[in-house]
Amino acid sequence: MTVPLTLMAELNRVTRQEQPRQVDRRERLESFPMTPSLSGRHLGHSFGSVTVLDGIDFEVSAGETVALLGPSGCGKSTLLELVCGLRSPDSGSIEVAGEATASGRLEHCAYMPQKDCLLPWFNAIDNAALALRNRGRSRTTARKEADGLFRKFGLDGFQQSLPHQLSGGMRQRVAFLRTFLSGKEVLLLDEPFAALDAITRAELQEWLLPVLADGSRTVLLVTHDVEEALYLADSVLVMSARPGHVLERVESPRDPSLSRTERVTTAGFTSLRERILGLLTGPVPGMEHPPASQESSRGSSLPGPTGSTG
Amino acid sequence: MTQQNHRRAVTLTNWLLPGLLLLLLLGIWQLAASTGFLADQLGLEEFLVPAPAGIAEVLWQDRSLIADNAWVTLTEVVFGFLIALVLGLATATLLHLSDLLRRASYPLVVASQTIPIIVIAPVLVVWFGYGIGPKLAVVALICFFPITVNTLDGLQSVDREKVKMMRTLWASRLQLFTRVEAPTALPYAFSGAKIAVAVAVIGAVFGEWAGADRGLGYLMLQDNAQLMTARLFASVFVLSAIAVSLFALVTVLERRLLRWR
Repeated sequence: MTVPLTLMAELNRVTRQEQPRQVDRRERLESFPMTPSLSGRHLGHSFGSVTVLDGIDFEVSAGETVALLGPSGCGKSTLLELVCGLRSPDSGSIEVAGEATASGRLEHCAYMPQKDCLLPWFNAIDNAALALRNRGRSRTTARKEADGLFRKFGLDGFQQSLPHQLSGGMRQRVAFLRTFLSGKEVLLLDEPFAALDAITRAELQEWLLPVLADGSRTVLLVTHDVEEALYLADSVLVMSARPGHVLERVESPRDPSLSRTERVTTAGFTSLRERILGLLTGPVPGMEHPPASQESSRGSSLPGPTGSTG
Repeated sequence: MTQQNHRRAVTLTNWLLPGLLLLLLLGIWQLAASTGFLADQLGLEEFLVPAPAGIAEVLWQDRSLIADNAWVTLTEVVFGFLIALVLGLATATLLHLSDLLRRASYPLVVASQTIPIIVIAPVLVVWFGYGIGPKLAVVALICFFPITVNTLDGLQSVDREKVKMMRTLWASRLQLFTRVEAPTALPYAFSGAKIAVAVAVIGAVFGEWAGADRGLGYLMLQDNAQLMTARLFASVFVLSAIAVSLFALVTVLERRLLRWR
C-alpha cells in the first residue's frame, strides 16, 4: 500500500495555504513527468446483450483533472467502476499508476458516488474520517486529522452534526472530504453535484476548483453538465450516447484571475460550450435532425435517455 | 414552549386515548357481567362469567401464587427469546455472507416457522422432560423466524453504492460489516425482535401445556379444569402485561440505539 504523500504532510501543506490560490495547471503540470497516471486502451464492456462501452481510449496525467461528459446512460459510471477496479473490463486494458490488475487499481483510486452515501449513524467528522478509521487509525487520531480539513473546507462547526442535520451542499462537501482523506492519488467523482440546486452547485464548483487545482490528486470527474466540465477540468472527454466512445478531447480555457461568473461568460468559454453541445446533440445516425425533446430547459445540462447506467 | 405543549399533546393522545378506550370496554364488561346479563345470555352459572372487578379481586387474593408462576413463565420467555436472538442474528449473518448457504438453507428457515408448535411441544417434553428445556426450545423456535428473516432482509438491503464507496476507502470485509452492513440491518433486527417478544409468551404457554408443573400456562390449565374462571382471566391479564412490558422494553432499547433515525 503505497501512498504518494503521507497524510499528515499533506494536511500540513493544505492547511498552510490560508487562501487557496488558483494555480494555472498547465504551468504547474510542466514540472510533472508526463507519464499518464491513468489510461485506458480500447475499453469495451457489456451488460448482457447491451454494449455499454465501445472502444474507449483516454489518458490522464498525474495531477490533472479530466471530465467525462456525455448523455445519461452512455456508460460513464461503468467506466469509473472499471477504472477504480470494482469491475474488470470485457476487453481492452486500464492502467492506474502502473497497475493493470483490478486489485492493483483499487489501491490507488477513491470513488465518490453520485449520492453522498454518508453513513447516517456517524456524525460528519466520523464520516469524513472513514478511510482513516478503515486503515486502523484510532478514533481520536482520525478525528484530529480530519478536523484540520474541516476548517479548510468550510465545514467548521459541523463536526458533530449527523448527516440528516446537514444541507445537501454540506453533505456533498463532507462526502468529498471523505474521498480526499482516503490518501489515494486518484479521485473518481461520479456526478458529485448532480443532486444539488443550481445555486449550490455553482457554489460548490467554485469551492472545489482550488482543491483540485493544487495538483496533488489526479481526478476523473463524470458529469452531464457541460459548464461544470469546462469550469472544473483541464480537459473534457466528450462521450457519445450508448455504446459510449470518446468523440473528442477538448482542452478547457483557463484564466485563474477570473471569477466563476466572469469565466463562464467569456467568449472562449461559451463558444467551447456551444461546440460541445453541438457534438453531443449532433446528427444521430439514421436521423436527420436531433429530436425536439433534446432541447433541455436546464441550460447547459445535457438531455438524454433516462437510465441509471450513465 | 409550543414544542413542549406539542409533546404533552402527543403523550396525551398516546396514553390517554387507549386508556379511556380500555376503561370504557371494562365498564361495559363489568356492567354486563355483574348484572348477570352475560351469564343469562350464555345460559351459564354466574361464577363462570367473571366481571373485571371479580378478576381484580382474585388477582389480589392469589397474588403470591400468580407471581410465582408468572416468574417461571417470564424466565422461559426471556431466555427463550435470548437464545433465538443469538441464533437468529448468527444465522442471518451467516446466510448473508454465503450465497451458497443462503440458497441451500433459506427454505429450511421458512420451514422452521411452519412446524406446528402444539404438535412439536409434547415431543420435546418426551425428549427433554418436564424441566425448562422444552419451554425454552418452543419459545426459541417461535422467535427464531421473525428475527432471522428480518435481519437477513436488512443485511441484504445494504446500498450497493455505499459498499463500492467503502471498498475504495480501504475497508476490509469485517469493517464493511461492522460500519455499514450491521448498522443498516439494526432497525430490521429490531422489527423482528418486537414481533418475536410479542409471540414469545404464546410459545411459553404452549410449552407448559405440553407438560409442566409450574408457570402461568400450567396454572391456567389447572384453573380451567377446576372451573376457576376468574383466576384463569387473571393469569391471562398477567401474561398480556408481560408481553406488553417486554415489547415496551425492546422499543425503548431501539430508540436508544437508533438515535440517528
